[in-house]
Amino acid sequence: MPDIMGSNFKTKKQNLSVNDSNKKSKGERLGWKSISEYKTVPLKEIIGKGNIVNETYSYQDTCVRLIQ
Amino acid sequence: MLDCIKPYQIHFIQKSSPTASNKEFNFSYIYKFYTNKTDNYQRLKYIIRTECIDDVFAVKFYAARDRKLDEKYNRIIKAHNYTDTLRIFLTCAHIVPLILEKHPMSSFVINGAQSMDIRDKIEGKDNNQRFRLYKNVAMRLFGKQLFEHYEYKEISSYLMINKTECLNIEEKKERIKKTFLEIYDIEI
Repeated sequence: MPDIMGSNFKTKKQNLSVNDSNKKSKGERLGWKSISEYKTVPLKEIIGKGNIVNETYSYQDTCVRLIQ
Repeated sequence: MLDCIKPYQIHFIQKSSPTASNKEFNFSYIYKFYTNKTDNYQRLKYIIRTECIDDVFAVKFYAARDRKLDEKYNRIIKAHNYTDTLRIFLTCAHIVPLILEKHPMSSFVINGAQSMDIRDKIEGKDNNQRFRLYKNVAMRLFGKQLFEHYEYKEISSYLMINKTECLNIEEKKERIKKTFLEIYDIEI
């Protein structure tokens, strides 16, 4: 019995490793680029003019306000 | 959901001066807090840095264990579920009233760092996940009486400009932007 239990455990552990390597990372699932492909650009070139945030929330949400 | 979440207890550590390697700001207030131990992870210590440039505080935070890493602001930490992650953001947001007690005219900025995963994939600059969460939290916690809220989606940055004794908000916003561009003449 102990040998069977041990072999089951080893099989489960091997399957777990295989599953992890097959499992996509968050970046792979979301289509992020790899760091080697990533191109930096000067901050000045891409910064926009800054837009006012006008969305509002209901009173229920505002009851958690830290500052009005 | 935010009203069900309490912030972690914040502890002030010190007021810090710029160093040779990190000299963009005038001074910085440094705080710490601890998350809770979970079934799978030990509690984590977090550091909050609020770096003051003129009258603007840039809020930054990271897990203390990552302090020596270049990507300390970018790492995805698996220890936290969604609620715990919100709790961390909420804790950082509670710094704002603390700073306002000493500096009642201050404005605040936070940048959403691009996430990096375990397979060295990096998120885009524009409207990233951290920025979307910060924006959501900021809009709920901070009203429009004291602050005018601005977003720079293309660089995932959120700015809250203090309206106190401010005659021209747009002008103040442009001044802040110009100051930051001069100081952070960087590529991202």
